[in-house]
Amino acid sequence: MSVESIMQLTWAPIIVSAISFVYGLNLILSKNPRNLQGKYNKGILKNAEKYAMEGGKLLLFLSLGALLMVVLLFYDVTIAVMFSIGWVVVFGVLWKRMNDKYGPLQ
Amino acid sequence: MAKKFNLKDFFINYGVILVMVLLVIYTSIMSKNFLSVANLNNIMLNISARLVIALGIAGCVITAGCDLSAGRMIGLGGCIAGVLLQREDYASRFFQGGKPMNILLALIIVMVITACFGTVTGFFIAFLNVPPFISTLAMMEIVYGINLLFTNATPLGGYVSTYTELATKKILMIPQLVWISIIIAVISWFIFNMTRHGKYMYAIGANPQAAEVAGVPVKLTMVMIYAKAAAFYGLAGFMFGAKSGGASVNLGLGYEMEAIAACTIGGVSVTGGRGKVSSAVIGVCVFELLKAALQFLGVNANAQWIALGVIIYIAISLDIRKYVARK
Repeated sequence: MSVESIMQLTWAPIIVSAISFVYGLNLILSKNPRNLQGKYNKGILKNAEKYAMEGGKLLLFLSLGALLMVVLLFYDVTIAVMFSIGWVVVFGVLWKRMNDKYGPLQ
Repeated sequence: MAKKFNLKDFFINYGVILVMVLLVIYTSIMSKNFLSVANLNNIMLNISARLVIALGIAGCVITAGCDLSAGRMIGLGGCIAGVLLQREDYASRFFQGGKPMNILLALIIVMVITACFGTVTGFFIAFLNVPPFISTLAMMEIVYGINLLFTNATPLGGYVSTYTELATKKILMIPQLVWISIIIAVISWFIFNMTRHGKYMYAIGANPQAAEVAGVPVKLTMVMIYAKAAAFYGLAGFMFGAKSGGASVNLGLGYEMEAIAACTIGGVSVTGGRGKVSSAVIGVCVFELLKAALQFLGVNANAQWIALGVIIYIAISLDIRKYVARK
């Protein structure tokens, strides 16, 4: 398999993995939730630092899922797709919990 | 009292458009073929499908969101339409032995399927509070995987003539695909300006907390915005399939960025709450004319990407500057 054909098969999860990794790391290191919420979102958070930290960790979790999808794509596309759907659903549920705990005040 | 004309403000508001108009004039002087009927026809066809994408994304951008899954939805829409509309006698037919479907029915199926994915994205954003940027990024991966599974990465072709004729046959000298985009623009204008949903959309974009307090069904509106946008991406994929006569999983690669850029150039604010259908129309026209002008001027294909990137950067920077100035 050439590099080009590998990239053609896996470019989407690789992009997702790279972006979420960089974003997640940025959030953990900066501890600034505005990097996630947007600079102009003035919503008040229950715990801004924790929100950034936990959000960053969850993004790294998403990044790992996308990376695993890249590997699974070489074995079985069906398993890779099912796995990525499951992973994203878990990510969504975890995000909701994190948001309820540290996110914007209602 | 009439507001005093300010040259600086004028350039900040319309500078990018002005430069592009000058570039188009310059190109038409330098290359006579630029304003030929064949080239204008081609530009119109390019604008038509991209306008539909931009109108979908405009709704998301107005609510201070974005949709990175647009390109993959276009790919999925194009592939579903391709599978349903292949000729009966085509040797590499995806569904051997089946008959091509009615075009309108195929279009409805494409739009409904992509709208379902949009609904899921909207659910993640509205009910699970995942930022739009992240949820659409995740959806991009899922839709790509599903499309890969569906087509097995096989390029599709051999479409029925009634489908490909959408790009070639004309009504009142204008290709049918362009009429489709005009109809979508009119529908979008109606939704944006004449419906409660449109007003909710602007209210959420300006201040979601205030909108919620005012009784706007924020969650439901968000889901509807992303579902509608995804249906538009499906339609755009259908249109690209008709134009090119084929589709693959990589159809629509990078189109979401172009659409967001076109919206921003036209005046849809990435900070939310501002933007009109005309903004998307102007943005897409300007962007496509610029791309055509660069090709006609013989600019290196790789350098064109840099030029387009610079334009996007300038347009978004000016938009942010306008927001800061308003504050």
